[in-house]
Amino acid sequence: MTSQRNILGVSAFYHDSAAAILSRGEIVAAAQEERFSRKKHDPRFPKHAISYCMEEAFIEAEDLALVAFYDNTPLTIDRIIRNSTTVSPQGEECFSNALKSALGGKLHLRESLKNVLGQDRPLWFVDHHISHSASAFFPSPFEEAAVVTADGVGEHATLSIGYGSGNTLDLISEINYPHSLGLLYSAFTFYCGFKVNSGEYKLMGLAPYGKPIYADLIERHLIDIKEDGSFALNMAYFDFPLGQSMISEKFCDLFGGPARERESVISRREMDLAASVQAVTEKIMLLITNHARKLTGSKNLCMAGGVALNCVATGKIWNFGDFDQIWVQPAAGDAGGALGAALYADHVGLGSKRTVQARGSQNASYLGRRYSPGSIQAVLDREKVVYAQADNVEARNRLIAKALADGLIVGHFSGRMEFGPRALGARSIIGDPRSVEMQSKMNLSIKFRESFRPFAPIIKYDRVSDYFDFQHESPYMLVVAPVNEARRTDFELNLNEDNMDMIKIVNHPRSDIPAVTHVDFSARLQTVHPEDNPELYGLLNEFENLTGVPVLVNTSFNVRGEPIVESPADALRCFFRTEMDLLILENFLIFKDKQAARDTDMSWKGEFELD
Amino acid sequence: MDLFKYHERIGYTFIPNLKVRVDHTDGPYLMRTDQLGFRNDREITNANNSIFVFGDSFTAGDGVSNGRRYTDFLQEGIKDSEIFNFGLPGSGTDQQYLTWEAYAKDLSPRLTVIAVLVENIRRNMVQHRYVVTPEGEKRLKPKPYFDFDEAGQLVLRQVPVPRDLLPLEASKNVDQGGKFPGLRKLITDLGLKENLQKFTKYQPVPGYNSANSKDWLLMRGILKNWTSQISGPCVIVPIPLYQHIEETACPKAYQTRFSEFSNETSIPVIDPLKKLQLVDVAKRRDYRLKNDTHLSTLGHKALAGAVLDEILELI
Repeated sequence: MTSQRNILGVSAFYHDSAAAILSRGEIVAAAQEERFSRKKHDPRFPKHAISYCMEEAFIEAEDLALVAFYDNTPLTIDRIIRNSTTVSPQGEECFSNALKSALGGKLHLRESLKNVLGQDRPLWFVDHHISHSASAFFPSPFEEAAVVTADGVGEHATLSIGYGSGNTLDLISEINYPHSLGLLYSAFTFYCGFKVNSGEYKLMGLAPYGKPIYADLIERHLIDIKEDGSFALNMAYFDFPLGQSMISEKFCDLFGGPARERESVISRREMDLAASVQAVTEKIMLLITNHARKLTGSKNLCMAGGVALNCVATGKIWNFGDFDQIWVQPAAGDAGGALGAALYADHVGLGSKRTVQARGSQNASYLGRRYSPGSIQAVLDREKVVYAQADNVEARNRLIAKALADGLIVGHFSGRMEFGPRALGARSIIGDPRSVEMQSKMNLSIKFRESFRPFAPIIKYDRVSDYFDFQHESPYMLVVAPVNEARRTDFELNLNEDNMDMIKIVNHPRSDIPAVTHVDFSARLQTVHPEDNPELYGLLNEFENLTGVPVLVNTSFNVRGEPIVESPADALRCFFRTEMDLLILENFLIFKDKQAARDTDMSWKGEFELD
Repeated sequence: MDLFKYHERIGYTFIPNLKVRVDHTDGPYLMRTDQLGFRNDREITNANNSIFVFGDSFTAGDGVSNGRRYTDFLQEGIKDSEIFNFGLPGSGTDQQYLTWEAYAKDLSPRLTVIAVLVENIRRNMVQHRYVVTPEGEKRLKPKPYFDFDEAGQLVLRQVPVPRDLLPLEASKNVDQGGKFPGLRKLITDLGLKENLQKFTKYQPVPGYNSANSKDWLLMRGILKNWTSQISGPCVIVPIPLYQHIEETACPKAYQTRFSEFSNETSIPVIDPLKKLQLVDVAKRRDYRLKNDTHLSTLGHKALAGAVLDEILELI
């Protein structure tokens, strides 16, 4: 092993391929392949992400001690075989399809690694849910913690409870495939007409428009929930073991008809279904985490896996659970598995000591590339963009704050790119939260997405309780909390209305920060601490100086179906395709109204598959 | 990721403060640039105790990582001076001279090394070079160039260098990598290149054949202008092509021209070819990359070894 203890983690071939790199135990870099390939949730071998990680660490392949892959392939094959034998007579076709899908690129993993690295390196395999657990515990600010992971499926496990302490991590109990909370949620995502593995977030955003009138039906027919939160799905209602569809005809019969057609009108049924499956999910997560508390005795909770991105459920665990502190891996989905596999290989495999840091060791998840001024200027000059340059970050922030207060929508490209699905200010579109029309304007003219979808607030960490019923930090936008009652208007959503005019609802002020207040008065919080992101904290300060409000609207810098922008060229392209008014590329300022007329052809929308 | 930015006198330079893993047909390599935009891992803090090395991609180190180039290996043998690499890929001696003017003219290093890839004589003669855009289209990129006025004075042309790329048909004055590009490609594709070069006593850079050729007169003029303005000691290192190293082409013409230049100007010339040819000819193939004519790490190491002693004598 090299003295630097460089470890490359790789996740690939399910969804959200990614790479991460550790050097002497420090997380140096991590990135999802989609940001480079520009294909959302790209499952392919993450050659670009690996290359970026090697670049950031500035090491050659020979300096790598090992490569850790986040999946135990023989166990995955075992699950596929067992699954296929249980679904006879369709098992043969099912086996063939599942094997192709699960193995695909894995058969060529060593070769693919050699191609991108230039030479063979030792390759370790780390179980899927161990990788998730490691990604949740090792970067956390806790010396010891209960660890809960939940997603669609790994090798066998779909949910696990574990315990981490120092540099050790052990799984205590698991729930195995096909009984999967992640797949239950995905089944409803599919049934409500959204894309599986992508549209779950929309379902969560839709839930507040509905009433959980189907929750009881779900519990009676689809899932048997025990007191400790463990559960079993009634497979008569699901079709995913066959790999043909998420749900069976019986499922459709139970909920009164076929699945909603994608892009068709969202009806009362979808809203109520969303509210119902959300309620069931929250109930299970609360029971499971409370059980984890009993099993481990720990007052700290770490979470990962796709289900951990359900920030409404996490908010409920904060409020009603048995834990003092919670830390959720910001790249909770499969991308984070790359980081977890590397951390597990380092701490457990190699026995490296773990140093706990007060704010965690994830570097606020700013683990992607930062572009130098020279790199940005080269692109601007090549593209003949008219720009100004701020002297420093303070001057830049004053200018942005003024623009925001004047109602401009700003593309904010600053610092290292985020690792994980949330934009945390480095690749964000930001706006004034006081504006009543901001939510529908951003949704329809900037993001080209459904009008109902909420936007998240970013707020100075030390002002959070002035605006929200929440006393903690949420640096990764993974908690939903209610807006303080005193700030709310008398808005009341009519949950019985059959044909809701969503634009009318969205444009109805619900608080003094309407653009970030969802219809149930909730908000998906990101608190900003100056140690994590001094530039962003400075911007919030400047905006507060001008307006008295230490809050901004924050949404990811992309359009619907597009991965978040990675490079200045991506950002420029997105800026010119949308109605953003101002683009900040570090200290370069690009005002839309100063640019020469550009091609207004909208055919580019076909580039991105809708989610 | 962009590696170069526009420069109005030189045409382009590396983007400053880069840290990149560059894709390459022989495998990726790591590249870092300093705040001036050259492939150095540190900044110049004491020019008086430095050695500046100018050249093209063979000096910059295309295809190999920082730390694995001949300037890096020289540094291992020269402990009391800091070596700075001003290599600019794709440049001619003309652009290297302009690089010196822009970044080093006012500094007084212990030694200035002008590393002339012998092929650069051809690049000095052209006004455009081929580039491939990010969209994969081949275009012409204008470059600065020199020629002589009626009084025989060297005159800089095409400065400020036009920013815009041109369509291929816009100029015939482009470096084609030698004469008869189509025929050369056919011979290479047929695998006949090396034997044919030996058999025909191929001269890859005929501009050196005569002391009065236009190509050499321009090279000589640029070097004379340049070296006459350098306040401290300087030296010229002609870097041979692989055909010279592997003995499929005769080096005599270029060696003669640089020798004449040294006699005329008293500027020392270090010719590394003899030492590079000390190892068995078959092994010299490893001095260059597998899919590219640039020096491999082994080649860089060998080149450093071939010039180290003579450079030590000059400082």
